[in-house]
Amino acid sequence: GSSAEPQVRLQFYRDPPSGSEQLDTVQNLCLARLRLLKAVEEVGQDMIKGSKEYMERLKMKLGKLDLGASLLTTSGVHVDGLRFREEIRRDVLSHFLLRLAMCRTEDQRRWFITQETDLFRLRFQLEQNADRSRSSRFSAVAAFLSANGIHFDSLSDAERSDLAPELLAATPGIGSDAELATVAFYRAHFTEALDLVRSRRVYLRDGFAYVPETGVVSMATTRFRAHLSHQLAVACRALPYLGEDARLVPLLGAIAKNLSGDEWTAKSGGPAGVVLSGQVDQLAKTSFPPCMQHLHSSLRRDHHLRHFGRLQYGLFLKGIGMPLEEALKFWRGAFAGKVDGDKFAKEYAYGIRYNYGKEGKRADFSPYSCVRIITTNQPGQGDSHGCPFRHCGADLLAQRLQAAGISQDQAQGILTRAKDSQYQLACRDYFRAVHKLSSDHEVSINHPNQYYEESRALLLGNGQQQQSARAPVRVTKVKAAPAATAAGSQAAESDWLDETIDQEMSQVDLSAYEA
Amino acid sequence: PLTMCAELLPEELATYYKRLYPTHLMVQWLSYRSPAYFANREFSMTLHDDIYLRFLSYNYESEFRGALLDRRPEKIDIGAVYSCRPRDRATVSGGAFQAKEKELVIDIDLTDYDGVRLCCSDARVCSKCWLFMRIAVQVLDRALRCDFGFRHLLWVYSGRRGIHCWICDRTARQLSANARTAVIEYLSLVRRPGDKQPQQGQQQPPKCHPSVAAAADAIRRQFDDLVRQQDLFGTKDRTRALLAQLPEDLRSVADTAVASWLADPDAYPSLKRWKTISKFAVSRGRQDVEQQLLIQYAYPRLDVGVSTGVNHLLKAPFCVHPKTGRICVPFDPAAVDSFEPDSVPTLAQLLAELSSASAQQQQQKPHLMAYKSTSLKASIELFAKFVDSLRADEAQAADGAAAAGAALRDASNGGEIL
Repeated sequence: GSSAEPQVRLQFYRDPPSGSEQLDTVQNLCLARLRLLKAVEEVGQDMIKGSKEYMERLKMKLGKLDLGASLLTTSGVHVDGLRFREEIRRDVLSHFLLRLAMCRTEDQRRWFITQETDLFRLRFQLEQNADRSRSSRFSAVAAFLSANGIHFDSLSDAERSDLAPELLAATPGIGSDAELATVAFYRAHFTEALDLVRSRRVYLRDGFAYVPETGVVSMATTRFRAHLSHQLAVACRALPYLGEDARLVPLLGAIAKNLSGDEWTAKSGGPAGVVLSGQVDQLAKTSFPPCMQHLHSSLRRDHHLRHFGRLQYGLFLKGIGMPLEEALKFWRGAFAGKVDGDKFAKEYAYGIRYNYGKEGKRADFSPYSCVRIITTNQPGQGDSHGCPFRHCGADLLAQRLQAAGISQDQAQGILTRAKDSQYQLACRDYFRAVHKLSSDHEVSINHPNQYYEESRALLLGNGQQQQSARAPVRVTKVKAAPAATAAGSQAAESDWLDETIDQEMSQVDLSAYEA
Repeated sequence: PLTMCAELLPEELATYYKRLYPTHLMVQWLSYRSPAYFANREFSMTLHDDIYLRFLSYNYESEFRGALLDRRPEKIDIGAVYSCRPRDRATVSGGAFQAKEKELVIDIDLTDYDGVRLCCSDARVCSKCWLFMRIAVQVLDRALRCDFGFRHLLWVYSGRRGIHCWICDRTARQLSANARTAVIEYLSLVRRPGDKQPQQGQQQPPKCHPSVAAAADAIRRQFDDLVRQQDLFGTKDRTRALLAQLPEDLRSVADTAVASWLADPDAYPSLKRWKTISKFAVSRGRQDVEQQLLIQYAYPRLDVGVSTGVNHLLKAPFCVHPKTGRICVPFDPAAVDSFEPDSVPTLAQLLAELSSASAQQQQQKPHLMAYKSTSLKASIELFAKFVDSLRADEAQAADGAAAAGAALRDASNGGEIL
């Protein structure tokens, strides 16, 4: 109907949408929302969440993205009914689709919950701001809360003045009794206001938190997060029973893979063309990530590397474009001080050819991503592999940073990131420092080979970001596909990594361009 | 034959579990009036020769008692209540075996005070450093009850140099990991050595969160004693450390006072130095500085990791501490001032008391009454009171739920058929 009151845009995502959609619409929506959430993640890493700069930056970035502008529009802004319904549908549909894509593993769930909650908080705050400056009495926030069954008890004037000294002392941002009298307060069980409790920004008594109206966003966000967390767990358990396996499951799997930077595979001739064994020393100095620099210098120093070091470094070299013949030349030369030609041929050459898929099961091994390096094959005494930000002690790391010519200030920032277990962010800050970039320069390090490519792109004066891991899903290889996964049965772990998925995906991609 | 404190002999543990250990009360506690709740609880046991067994569970009290007598554990840990019996976890698919509920627990260890605890360090504990624990109990007991509304708190001596608090309210047991972290971060004002600095409350001085002010009040009541016992400011270094914590504007004036102290140290004992500084700060309108100092020196250091995980295992009450032989007894927080770790009974002592109890007493039902003739009596009676009050509450809650259910049924019977 055409009531005077605007409809509320903000969503709690309680009820799944129904209807049907084209597969490519599904794909586009998923990717659009994924891009949106990645932007949310990046801004959240660079700025303090909730600060003014954060909000401005986020609004700017999201506004430029597909789907972003409509999500940022507040409820009072008038658009025609058709467009309104379309925008709501895209919001709801993309959210629920991504839920399916991201419910599989704990890491993915956690990531999804964090970004969606941050996005929700931004939208809620925008609605609050719009409410405040609106001339009519309509409150989008109140409408949203009551439509979703969220009720916080409000304090009467008498109750508030009874507690005035405590409320004044406990609530930041209120300077006097007079000011206190102008602020509405709500009483909620402390479990509804965890963020405020955690940082001791509210008065607590007998298990209840006394929250000023500015704290309502925190309480709503807490509910949102709890609800989403629960729903994701439900979705995960329901996943095996999806009737749509053959089309949807591979698509969702590919999207999830996209997030973790797992899509690197070997290509002969990397972006800089073929890399020769003689070029490695120079390239290591300028463009290798610290993990690989360390492996390289250990190799040069000891004329040897242990098994996991050879694996991690060897696959990396393959990924930057070193062909097999050059690799054999390189390793033979590197081992020359310790290992003679015959011994090398007998003990090490096989392993190198195995990595290139020329021996044994002839699989094309991918170079390890950051996550893999950080979490598996923990190095021990005498090992040089691993992630320096994770596996080196603070002193050694500080030393290395200094040796790399990084200033004291920047080094301190990097060390703090590492100490806080934000290893990939530490590497990103390292990248910026050694390439003399400002802290606005956008880059996110998920993979050593990506570090290398970003570095080459910069140094070769080519501003374009080539083959960044943030690109949309792309077909990296197409193989002859055996029978597709059976519909309706339990999706085993291996289905997600099955090469046949790429065959499916390539068909999806092509169909978008047909007709 | 009596044990040396260094070793727990299986035969002695067997006697302890048979005749003194409050098995029935433990089961009543952990059931919370629901046998299924007890059956789904994880226990772990450390046996002789460091054999560690996890994911143990028991369907009935008799099974639990049997396991204690059979295995003679040197340590028993209590874990979470899971979605099914821990011992049956292999029969359900991976995601279906989950920790559902557990008491919220807090662990305070004297070694985390080594920066300010000057009488002892590491494992040593004396009657002087126990004052820190007394203060910790008073501060936290108040905050847990008044701020969070928790009512069923079981405070337990951990046997050597710390205390545990088991918060057993239903709300507490159902808290998510995120909520537990929030509670602990609210309660954290001082960092342990090696941890991150806890969040500051964002209140600008002179505003001070009521909880922080209340904690400072509790500390203040005991602080003079602490200063004296620890000689907290008795050396040049300690005095300098105190000075370094003052804000700029106060420090310069304090410098002159300090100079006279260092010139004639014996005329200015620790307490006098403290009184001078604290009065000075307050007189300058900086009550917040005085509060901050109290908190910095004596506020409890909390181990966040222990409290956060729903599936975290913690040593059960009434275990025997392997190094000291002392029983991990519950104590009354209201009477914490008179709690003396040195007076806590040891296993050796209890066994001696048992054997010297009169023959007549031994003829009565042994494991039910034996404790009454030993020093364990008071602790067990305290525990019994705790369990009774807990069960009374659970009964009420169950009645309330039943009444609500009945009302719902009535409403739906009388309502329209849709």
